[in-house]
Amino acid sequence: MASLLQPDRVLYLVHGEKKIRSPLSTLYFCRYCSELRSLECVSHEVDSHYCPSCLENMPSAEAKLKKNRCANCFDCPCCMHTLSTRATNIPAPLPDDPSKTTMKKAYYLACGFCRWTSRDVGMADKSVASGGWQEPDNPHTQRINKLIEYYQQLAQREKLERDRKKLARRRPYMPLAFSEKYGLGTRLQRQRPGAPITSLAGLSLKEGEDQKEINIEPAQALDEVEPLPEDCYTRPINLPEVTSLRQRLLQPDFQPAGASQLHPKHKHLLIKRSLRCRKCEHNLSKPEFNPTSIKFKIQLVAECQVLLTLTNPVENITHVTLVGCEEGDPEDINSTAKVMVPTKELVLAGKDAAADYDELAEPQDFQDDPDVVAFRKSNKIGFFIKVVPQREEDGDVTVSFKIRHDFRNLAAPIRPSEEGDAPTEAIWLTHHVELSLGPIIA
Amino acid sequence: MPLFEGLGSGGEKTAVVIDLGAAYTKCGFAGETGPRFIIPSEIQKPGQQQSIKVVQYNINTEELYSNLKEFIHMLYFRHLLVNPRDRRVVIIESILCPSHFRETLTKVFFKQFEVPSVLFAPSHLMAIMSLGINSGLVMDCGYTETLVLPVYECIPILPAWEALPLGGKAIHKELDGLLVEQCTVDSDSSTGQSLPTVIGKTPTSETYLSITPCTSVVDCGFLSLSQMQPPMACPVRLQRDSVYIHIDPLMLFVLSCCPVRTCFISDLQRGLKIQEAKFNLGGTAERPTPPPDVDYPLDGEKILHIKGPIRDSVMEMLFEQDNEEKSVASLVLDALVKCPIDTRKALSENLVIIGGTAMLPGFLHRLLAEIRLLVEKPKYRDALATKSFRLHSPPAKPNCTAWLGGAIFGALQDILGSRSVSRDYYNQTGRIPDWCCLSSPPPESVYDAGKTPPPLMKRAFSTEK
Repeated sequence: MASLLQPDRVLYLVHGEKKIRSPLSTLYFCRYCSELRSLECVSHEVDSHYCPSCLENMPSAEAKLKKNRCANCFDCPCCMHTLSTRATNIPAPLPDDPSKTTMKKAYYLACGFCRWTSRDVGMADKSVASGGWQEPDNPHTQRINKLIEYYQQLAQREKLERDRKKLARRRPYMPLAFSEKYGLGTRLQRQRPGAPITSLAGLSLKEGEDQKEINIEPAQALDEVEPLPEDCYTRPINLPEVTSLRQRLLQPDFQPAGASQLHPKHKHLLIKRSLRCRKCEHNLSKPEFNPTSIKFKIQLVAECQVLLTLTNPVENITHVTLVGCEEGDPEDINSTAKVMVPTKELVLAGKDAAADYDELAEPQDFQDDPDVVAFRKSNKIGFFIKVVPQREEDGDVTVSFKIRHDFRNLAAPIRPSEEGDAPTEAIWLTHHVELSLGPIIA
Repeated sequence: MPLFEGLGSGGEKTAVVIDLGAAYTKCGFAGETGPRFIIPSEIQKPGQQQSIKVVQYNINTEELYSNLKEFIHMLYFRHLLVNPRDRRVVIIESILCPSHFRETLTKVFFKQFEVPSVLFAPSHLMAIMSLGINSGLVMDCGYTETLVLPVYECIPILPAWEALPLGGKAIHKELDGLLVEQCTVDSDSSTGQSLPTVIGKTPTSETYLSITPCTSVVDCGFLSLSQMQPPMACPVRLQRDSVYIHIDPLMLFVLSCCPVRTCFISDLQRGLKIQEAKFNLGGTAERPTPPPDVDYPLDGEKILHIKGPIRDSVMEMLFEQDNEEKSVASLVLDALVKCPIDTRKALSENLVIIGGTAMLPGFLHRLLAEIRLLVEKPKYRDALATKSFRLHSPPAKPNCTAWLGGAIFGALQDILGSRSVSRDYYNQTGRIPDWCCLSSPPPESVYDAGKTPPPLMKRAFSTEK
């Protein structure tokens, strides 16, 4: 029976934007829409952030501030392994009595995998175990911030003129305002989305219009560029000193060529994802907040809801009808064999966790046609189908048919029904199943 | 970065800025000083060892869609760690990007990830923005090609574009050929083996004969413009037979680091001497003393001995002039010649070089020297009056400059919304406006369907109601 859980042997058809066939273990079941959903037809969302090495959960506001990096853990810049903090005792003079020395603890970072240490790049040992290590700043930060401020001013200007233009359009009967706006109108008309971005240059700052004008110096171009050092042609390379491309790209702001400038970076966080059905916007899968827990708060996996072939996962008695695919069924594209499924309705007992342990339980009394039903055990049933391969080919024999079963929606009703306890209505679901039976043995 | 930006100001969340290059993708957030991540533009399918390049222009839509979807999914949920639905997107693109690729990318963003809006920003224009100037001649030395586009008063001079398929890809190919021919590998068991026997699978030799103009046009993704510009003749260097070996993908990655770590570009005099010796013009040209050999470790067991002459000569292909006398340096001058006369001085004194290939040691110095040499040639001497060339140094590494410009633009929340293509507009029209397609409807007529003619026409006749 385990073979039916293996991927690609039993495929269920999912009706989404595209028709996707995938095994039940990768599908979700939205019980509000009563439909199967695959990973492609749900929307993924970021649920929570956590650090992979210290497993500490980080609230999203803090994660945004720290640029999605853990405050305590570092990555080795050489091999990307997690760095560990090591302590040594160094002699240091006492503050009150310089002649006596006492042992003080000094901390440094070291990689257990490639033996890199923070002393290799010249970072001084710190006196606190954590919180002392800083990443170097980008030297261009100030200039970039000034540029952003300057352009924001131009953007504000553009927005004001755009708003004015919108207002002006509502009053077409004022010729004065009209002719004044006419010039602006033609120019702003051309700034449609998607057209090549014309600049904000047309909106140069007018003199004396604003109290606070932010002017920037345009960048100065240089006549000469530094040439390569002369010894570059004759000096043998010390390859471990030269960083590889991957090491460089891990630090996009600096991209150092020499290994002595590779500073460790804080460890990047990972996320837990939650899934949401696109149609009804209900959550299909929501993980636990705690990073160490692998359980889910909500998990509407298809295996728990949809009939697993031959096994009834729900607690009610379920009636199953199997219907073969008709000729010309548009969903039936893969089958290479004709299948004769039992025409009678099959009844499956409900799942009862205690039944395995209860030896005195009465055997369930279903009259089974021995031609159809091979065996029955608690909520499982085995039945016969006849398969007639249509083609002589080397590939696998694939059959497809439709399973029709009843399903009771156990989601709590939003409004209690007024007639008292009306039993939940059963709805009938139909799934298209493809079963790969393996190659024909001659 | 301003600490409380976006948190209490009541504005919208910062936009996501993505520069999807052929070799590497730079991704991050608007308003920051550098991208958060620079990752290879590849996806890894389970079960397959070889990674698949995401930026391919010749595959069918289905496959491209699923590759892009997986890549962008990884970008959002492994690197950026934000919800796609909340933030606007700024995509830095090359203006020569084929429309088909652009449309598929837009579809992935809008249909699969449901982003609120998308803005396609030309990389050359964004480079200008990162400097705070209005005009400049921007050269993007990337992986597939080197593309020059002048920008004057923040408007790209589109007819003056120039490009050559000389970039990281060409260098890799040349280097692989040279390594296979000339270098040996020492492994645990043996010494002096040739490269293919040690790391190749089954060596198959496909000789690259003269590449037809059509092939080179397709290869560079110039499909949409091939009618406008006559296809270029293939350069001399590619007519040489070179043997192509299937290399194990792990080795391929290691070898891709090799030129970055060991090779460099010589200065002008030395470079010219190397070229002379190679083509043996004049018969007795002496090659200058090569730099020392390097022992380059591959995967811990094998050591590749890289010969000295390879280290300084492989990059010369960027500056060797082919049959049409085109090289990376001549592109600048050709573009200048095509520009209007009164713009040329402003452009030549504001050269901006961006792109990963421009980070090679010695590139900028050699480029300036070559330009100054070429401008004295008769072809340009009479055409160009301006002889002064100046180079800018942007506040970011050359491979991140275009990204930085996009990040600066993306931080302008007042106008980002109005300049982007919103999801509603895309759902209504089903397409994204493109500079080469004039039939996109303006947004006003999309919303006010009953109003014809458009407002401009109305105003032209002020007596009309």
